[in-house]
Amino acid sequence: MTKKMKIELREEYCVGCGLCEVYCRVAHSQSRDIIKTFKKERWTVEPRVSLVIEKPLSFPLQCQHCEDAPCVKACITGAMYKNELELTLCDEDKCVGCFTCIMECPFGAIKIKENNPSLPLKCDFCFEADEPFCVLHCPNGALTLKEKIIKNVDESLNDSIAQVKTEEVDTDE
Amino acid sequence: MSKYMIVGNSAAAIGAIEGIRTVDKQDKITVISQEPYLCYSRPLISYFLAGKISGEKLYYRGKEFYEKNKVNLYLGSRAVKVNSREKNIELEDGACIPYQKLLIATGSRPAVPPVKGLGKDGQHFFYSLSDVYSLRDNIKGRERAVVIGGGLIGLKAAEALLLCGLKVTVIERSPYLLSSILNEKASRLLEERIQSSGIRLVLGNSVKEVIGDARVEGVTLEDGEEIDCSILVLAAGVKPNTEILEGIDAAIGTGIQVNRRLETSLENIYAAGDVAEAETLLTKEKKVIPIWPSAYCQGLVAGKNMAGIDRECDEEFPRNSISFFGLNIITAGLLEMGDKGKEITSIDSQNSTYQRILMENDRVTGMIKIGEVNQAGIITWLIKNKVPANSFKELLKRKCFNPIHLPLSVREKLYREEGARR
Repeated sequence: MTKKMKIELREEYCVGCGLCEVYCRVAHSQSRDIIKTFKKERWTVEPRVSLVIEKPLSFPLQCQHCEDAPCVKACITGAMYKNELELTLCDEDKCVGCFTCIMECPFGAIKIKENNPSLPLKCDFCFEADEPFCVLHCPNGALTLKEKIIKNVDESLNDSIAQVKTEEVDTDE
Repeated sequence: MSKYMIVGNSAAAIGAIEGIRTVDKQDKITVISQEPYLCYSRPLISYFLAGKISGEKLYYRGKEFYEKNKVNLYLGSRAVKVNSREKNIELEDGACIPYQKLLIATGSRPAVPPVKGLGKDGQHFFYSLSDVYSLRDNIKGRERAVVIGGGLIGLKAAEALLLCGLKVTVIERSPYLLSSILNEKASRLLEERIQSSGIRLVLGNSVKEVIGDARVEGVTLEDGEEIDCSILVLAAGVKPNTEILEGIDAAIGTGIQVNRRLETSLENIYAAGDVAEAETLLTKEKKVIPIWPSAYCQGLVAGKNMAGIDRECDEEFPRNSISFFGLNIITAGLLEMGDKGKEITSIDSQNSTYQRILMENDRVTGMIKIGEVNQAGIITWLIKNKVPANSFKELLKRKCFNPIHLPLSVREKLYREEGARR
């Protein structure tokens, strides 16, 4: 078993300020500087979260890095994958833009890139950062970092033989 | 001896290998496949022909996949028969290989349409990588192609051939394109896009005869029209490769019948993917749903069961995401509704966007989205989970319908169950 981080959404704390989108752009800009991002790179760097507002409610649509990610299982090219930290990422070199991932994602968290409409865009956890920019800059704790326990194999195994094998698997890597 | 034997080497086979290896890292897996290639993504062959991707990108998993997963791979061998009593499979050359757990993942093959004069040089299927290699060689210096079939495969073939510089005509028996996944209104939007690309569409008509001696020179249609062509692509649907289990008392309908553990009617034999016929989510009929994501998921569950843990597969339902000349299309669920059904449609023909949601008895049963497809997955989720939707059905009209439009209790269920779902 390994401990992995997960971004948790608490919609009751979201004030709809949009800083998650702003800092997501910054995180994925060349400069990583808010002024330069917005003055010089704004039209080339898009946010990977989408703030949605339905008054009085608001929250960002964002990849949940699902354990059993439907986008990964359905991907026809193998571009959508789980990395060693269990993050769900898209290998843009492999992706052909069929958007099967969009068909599958129940959170609406994958969208078509505006700058390149043959690729999808999604949260990449700020390149495996300890604390993604959206979490770091959320002013009211609507996005927080939570530890989650990931098991390498199917839990709730119901026979003891499989149980033994699970442990082998766990120590294997 | 291999504990696990898999016949076939596409999405379902890969799913099964990964499923087995989540449970059993040791025992041997053998894969026997008629095709001479490592697993490639079949839907990508049109991208490959059109030159949009290199051959390297066709591989579904990295080349080291088989070694990493300790798989003995026998490519270019055809398994012809299963001896279920002796627990072995028989290869074309007569060799018998024993198994403990067997997965039939033989997929499907293109159906041959009832047309006179087939079998001439210049005639191709558009289904496998071999098909594309021979097509690629054969189109050099050729000018005109006719594609029989305006379904997913036929249209992707037509798009690629056009991008290769050929003049292309698609002949479809139905009065509109993609009639298995689109209604007429939606199909017309696609039709406009395809026609403006330069492809000629002949709808509500079919090919009666192929003209030419040794080589394809043209086709004659039912209404008598003759169309010149030197390339003919047959894309008239697919047919499950069930033969390997025929004649040994296996339950076979259109495909090999399986339960939710992907077990066939024969002990220790499983089936998954395009060859398998399972109970479907929405109509409860036993059906083959020949789509890539289902094949992978069924393979995954079959693999886990083969390795000794009890898993049931989600019931599948049809869904497709595809684009033609930049027009994105996502569909899921049923295309038709019953008498009590309700249709929620929004259309913006100027921007080539269209959305139709079908509801029946408080549940969403079908989706068609054209043009604007972002956030389609939430509708897929509503269909899959049969979520009662009466309280927010008016909001389904919105093209940007997303989790914020769900009632709190439903949204909580979504975030609780999906993010951490196993």
